[in-house]
Amino acid sequence: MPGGERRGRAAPAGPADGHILGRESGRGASPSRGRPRGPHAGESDPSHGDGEQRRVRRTPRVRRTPEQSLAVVRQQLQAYADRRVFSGFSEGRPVAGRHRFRFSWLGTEPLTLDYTPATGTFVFRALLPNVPARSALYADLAAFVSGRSSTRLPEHRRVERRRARVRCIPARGAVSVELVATRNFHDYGVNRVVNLVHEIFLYLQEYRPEYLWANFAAPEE
Amino acid sequence: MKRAGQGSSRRRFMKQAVLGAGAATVGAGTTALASAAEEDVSPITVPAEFEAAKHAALPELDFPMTGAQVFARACKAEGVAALFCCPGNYSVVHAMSDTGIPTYGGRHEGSMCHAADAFTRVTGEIVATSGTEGPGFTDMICGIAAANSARSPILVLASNKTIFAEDTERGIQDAYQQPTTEGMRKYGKRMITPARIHEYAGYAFRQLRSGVPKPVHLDFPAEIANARFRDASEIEYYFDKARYRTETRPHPDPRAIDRAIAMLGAAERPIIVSSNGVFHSRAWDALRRLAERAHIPVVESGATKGQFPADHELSVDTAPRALASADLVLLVGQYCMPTLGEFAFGPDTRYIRIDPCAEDIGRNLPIDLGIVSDERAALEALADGVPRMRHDAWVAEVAEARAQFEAQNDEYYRTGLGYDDAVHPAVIGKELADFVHHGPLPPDRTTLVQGGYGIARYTRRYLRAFRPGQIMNGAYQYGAIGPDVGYTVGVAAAVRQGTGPQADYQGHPVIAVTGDAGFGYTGMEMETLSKYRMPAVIVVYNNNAWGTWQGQRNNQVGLPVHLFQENLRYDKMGEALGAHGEYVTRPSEFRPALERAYQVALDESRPSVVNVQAKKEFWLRDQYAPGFLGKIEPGVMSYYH
Repeated sequence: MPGGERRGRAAPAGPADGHILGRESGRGASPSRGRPRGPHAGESDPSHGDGEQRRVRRTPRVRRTPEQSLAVVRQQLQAYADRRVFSGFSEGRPVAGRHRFRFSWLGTEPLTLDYTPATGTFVFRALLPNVPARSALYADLAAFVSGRSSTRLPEHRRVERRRARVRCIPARGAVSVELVATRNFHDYGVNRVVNLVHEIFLYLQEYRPEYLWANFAAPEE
Repeated sequence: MKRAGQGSSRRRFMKQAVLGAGAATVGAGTTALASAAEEDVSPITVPAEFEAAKHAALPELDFPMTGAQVFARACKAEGVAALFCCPGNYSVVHAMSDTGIPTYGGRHEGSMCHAADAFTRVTGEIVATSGTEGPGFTDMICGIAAANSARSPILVLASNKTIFAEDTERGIQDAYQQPTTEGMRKYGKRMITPARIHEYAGYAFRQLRSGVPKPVHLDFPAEIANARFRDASEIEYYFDKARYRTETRPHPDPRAIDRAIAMLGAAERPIIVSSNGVFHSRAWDALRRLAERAHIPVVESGATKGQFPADHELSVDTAPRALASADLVLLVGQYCMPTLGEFAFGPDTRYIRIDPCAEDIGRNLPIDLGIVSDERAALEALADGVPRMRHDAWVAEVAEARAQFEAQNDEYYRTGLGYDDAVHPAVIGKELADFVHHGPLPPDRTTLVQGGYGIARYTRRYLRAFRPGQIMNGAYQYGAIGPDVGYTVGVAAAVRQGTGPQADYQGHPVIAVTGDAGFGYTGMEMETLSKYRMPAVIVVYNNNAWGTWQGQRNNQVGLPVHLFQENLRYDKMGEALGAHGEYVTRPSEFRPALERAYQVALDESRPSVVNVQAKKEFWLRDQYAPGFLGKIEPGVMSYYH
């Protein structure tokens, strides 16, 4: 049986998801064809007007010092560890104002989460190995992550653009995931970035199971 | 073998399918099988002894009795629903058969052990399986392990070397059995003292009928099976079952129920995970009452599906993307527990777990509340105590996720139809579901064996369960890919007998899905299905390769390990063993072939192999979108939880 030859009519290159996955259904969006739209692409998403944004429940702005924010973030991460969502939770020495947390969660290898209180930046560093920047997988991931800010997602599943911005960062063949919490919403940011990583793994499980087999020792079954 | 264009009258099929199969499923007699009779000089026949055995009077069973007979009588009193075996362990097998326990003989002890597991998974009843000492017993190991992972209460029986010859290696088939099943059973015993035979039956049934079920393994040295007892006084511990075990069940602590109700009331997006324990405790009515009263969505996880109907507005079985939204999960009878990262539920989700075994609550998954209880008792207490609630926004989210899921399935189907030189798995999944759920058959009628490897990633998206025991989840947890035809023997026997939840569907054909790799392991059981005239349709997804091919396709040296010859004719193998065969090479041929096979099941009570030719490249997303898919069950990172 010859392999590699495409037969039949053209098929979608990937999932054409509705809003639960954060993709813009009905617009012909295709993860493989889609391109990341930059770090703050969600803010100018033309498919959702400002009126929709305005309907989002307002959260009171909290003013905190970087030290206070660090305490809040540390407490939230520790709570995940206490509930055994994370295992092997540890915190390293800060370097240039960046605090590093390590823990095991969705695989056998420890994950690294960097947090910079002064800027509200959270980075799951090199979260996904072996994803070249020009690959279809990277394009899919970038589109998926930027789509997590769509207001068509339920509030509890999305990253609100007015409170945080998310993006993928390709570097040295791996993908880091960054969330920048705006206006001191750091407690929101740490919760959302953890949930975002969970959503990314669900996405990979559904559409790229072979990636998880190869890179996270997920069983092929 | 028939190809597209041939076939029986569609009108006749529709008529019979609607009327029911009962009248068409009896009476094999000595009649030569139809297609074989047309083509062969010496047609395949079912020996007259099969029909004679159906009408033979059961021998009277009373003292003096052998040890095997005493044990068999205990099994009968306990309601053992069937025995699946191969020749061997003769004294026990024949003693059990003589009590009237339906007994099925197959071609391989492993397949028969799988059949027993499957029978249990769709009925909830205790079933026995047997093999001879040594080879017969060790052939059953995979089946025992799979049943252990599925938490199936099967009674594994095997003969064994005499106690007299212990340690000598005298004779053949010498093996210490009990250490072999350690870790894959709930209880095991090599019986030593003949007078304690009934006592050990009590040990076995206490384990099988209480707590979390798992296999029980008894091995019978010849001194035990062949012991002779003149009367009951020679047997110690000869108790009635009401004396050696209890039917009472652990009930929940009322304070725990109150706390659970409070947690459900405080949650915005609660969900119930209904698993094996709901089925085994027959708690589906209480489950539905709780779900509807508190307006809580339900998702199924486990070795069988159907405790909650898939077409209910609260079902999340076809809304997998909603799972990560749940803020509170009520796990009921989830005996084999995925770890936290294996569930689709998010990192902030809280958990209540209901389980009859306190020692398992908290294993793998951190709990916020544990309730030690029989599942039905706990669900009834919750349903009685919970106030009426509404979770409209959450249920609307589930509905939207369901609509998206269905739309995506339709898109996959349309894509699959475009590949017209082989049959794409989405075509099989969609058209099979259309046939059993949306055609002339009532949607709850057909009991399904959901097997296969890659094909399962598609058929699971389309097939639905509407009543308890409708779908047997083949590869659940243990992940063995080969048992599917063996499983089909067990499911077909359960439906034929109308045991437990299958009573309303007695005699109707069953349908199984498997892959070409899987068929290779237990395909000889087509002969078993044929000789017992079991109406079963086996759909074989034939993509010429093991499921491992896609991950190894660039390994040129080792690649043949992952490949078969191409275009193998499993349909002809089925025909050679007495079944009907269909070979399907194009999408448009699948549905007609399926209907013809179903018609054969109705008309002749005979099994079929529908060999569906696919291609291994369908798993490559860049060439044949959507490629290999992930799982949709709540335990997405585990195996079909």
